[in-house]
Amino acid sequence: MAAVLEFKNVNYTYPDRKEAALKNINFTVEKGEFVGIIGPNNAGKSTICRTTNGLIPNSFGGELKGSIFVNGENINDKKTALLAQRVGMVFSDPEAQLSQMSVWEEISFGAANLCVPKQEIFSRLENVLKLLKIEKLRDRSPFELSGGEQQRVAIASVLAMQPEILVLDEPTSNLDPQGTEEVFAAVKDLNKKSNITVVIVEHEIELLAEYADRIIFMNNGEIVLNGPPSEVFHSIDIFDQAGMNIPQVTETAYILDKTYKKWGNAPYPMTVDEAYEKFSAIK
Amino acid sequence: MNNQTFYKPGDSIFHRCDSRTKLAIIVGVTLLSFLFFNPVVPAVLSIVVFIFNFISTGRYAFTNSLTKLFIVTIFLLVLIHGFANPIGKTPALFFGHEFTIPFFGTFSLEGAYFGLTYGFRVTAIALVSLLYISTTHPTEIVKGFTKLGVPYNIGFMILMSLQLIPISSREAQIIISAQKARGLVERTIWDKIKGLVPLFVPLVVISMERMETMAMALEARAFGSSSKPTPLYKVNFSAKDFVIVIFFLVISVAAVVLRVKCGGLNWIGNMHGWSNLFLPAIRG
Ligand SMILES: Nc1ncnc2c1ncn2[C@@H]1O[C@H](COP(=O)(O)OP(=O)(O)OP(=O)(O)O)[C@@H](O)[C@H]1O
Ligand SMILES: [Mg+2]
Repeated sequence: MAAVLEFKNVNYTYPDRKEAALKNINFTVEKGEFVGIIGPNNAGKSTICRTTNGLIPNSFGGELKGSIFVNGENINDKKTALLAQRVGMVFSDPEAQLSQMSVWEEISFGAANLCVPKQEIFSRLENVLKLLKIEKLRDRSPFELSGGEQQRVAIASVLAMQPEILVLDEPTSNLDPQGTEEVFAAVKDLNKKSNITVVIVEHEIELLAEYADRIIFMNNGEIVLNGPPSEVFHSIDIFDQAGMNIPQVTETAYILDKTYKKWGNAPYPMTVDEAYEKFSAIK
Repeated sequence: MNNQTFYKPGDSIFHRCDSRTKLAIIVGVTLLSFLFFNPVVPAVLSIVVFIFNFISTGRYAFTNSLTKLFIVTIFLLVLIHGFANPIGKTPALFFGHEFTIPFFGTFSLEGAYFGLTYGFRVTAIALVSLLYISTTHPTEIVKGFTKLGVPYNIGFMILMSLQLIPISSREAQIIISAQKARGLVERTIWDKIKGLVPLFVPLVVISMERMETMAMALEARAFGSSSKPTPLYKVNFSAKDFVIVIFFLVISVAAVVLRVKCGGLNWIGNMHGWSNLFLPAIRG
């Protein structure tokens, strides 16, 4: 498998800041993977996202050391606009990302800025409308939609640039539970059915536990844990120290294990279904 | 979009025509209302434009603040000019009596004529502007200007700031209710002023964050990487636009010819009674 995204010894400090926001970051993301990034406030999650499409250092300034590769190509010193078509980025504030008069123009906006021919733009438009199940919203104003719909339009609008990887920075943090569910289902679909590589910063740990192939846990600008969800959520002490939650069923299993010694060697469950199976096994 | 802008979505002929066509209508109406010096022409224009507004936005043509404001304006101008304009010679008769306010003057027909003329002129222009902004989405307004030669980036930045206004004021509402819920009282004006401080700080912080996201989202979609992005429309200017523009062009040209041949159609020097406000006196 080929690495779509690779960080090698990346260090970064924002201008006028003493403490580094990223400290010696190393990780790779393989093609088709679904990677979740979690961590407490100010851990550096957004900062990582911004380095993947050149917003750091192009727009933010500051000092970026180390190398970042997209599909094997070093992207240091590349312009944001050039990277825009390689790394699609979605942010948490749905309204602030939208600027056009109708959903279809919103989706075509990025591709038009890249001077993609009109016929090609329209065929991509049809395609992403279908992928995100927003065909019906086509002629609506993006500002009249629900948060979940707006976020799906935002995702569609970067997908129309046909990026090699989709990076989402807390796409559900401004949404109600229904919107969160909608967006998550859409992202999961893109990943599982269309094989789009996804890197997502998310605090809905339960959802990540269910869908992510791998979870990266950050704290204080460093990567503390990096592995499959079952492994990462097993390190409950680290989550406790950072004041973070783990899935409730995982915590329940942990308590059963530590307090009542009723668990054995099996990994802790992460989803309700898994928990049901494993909890019914202990009598 | 929402109640902070004048824009009312719809599907009328004025919603569907090009924003440049509407600009041409504005120019035409402005020209026509200033060509002649009498109340009739701008009054007819005001009524016609009001009907246009009614066709495109229905009840909103009555309920919007601009229309109400200009009805009051006409009334005020007639009052002020009627009593105070030194042009006044012929006293207006109210049931056979002159109406005089001491130290101010007698209500005159010439003053009323003058006030009505100016009142209807500004009203016609205000209403035609309302027609433009209530049927044209802010994005479309900016696009119209870009098509007329304003640089793409500048047009876009204006648009983004326009969009920030309704979003920010909605946010302000949310913050105010949150602070009232936490016991902020607003009984006196001083209370209201003090209340602005806890409103401003979060509002500024939120707006800064939002602008940062806006800028990032634009860059993330390659905004500005080309000064000539792929145009997504074929031709915006359709047959109906041509018809409308030509119609206004013909009327304007005819009006200019009339003006040159017959002068300003001004009968302020020949006032005898109330009816002369809208009808010139028959010679004799
Ligand atoms: N624009 C900026 N200028 C200066 N410092 C910044 C800027 N943005 C973030 N930082 C700092 O960099 C560090 C990492 O911030 P970052 O936004 O990446 O955290 P995060 O993990 O995304 O947090 P959150 O969960 O609050 O979004 C923090 O110490 C923060 O104060
Ligand atoms: Mg963040």
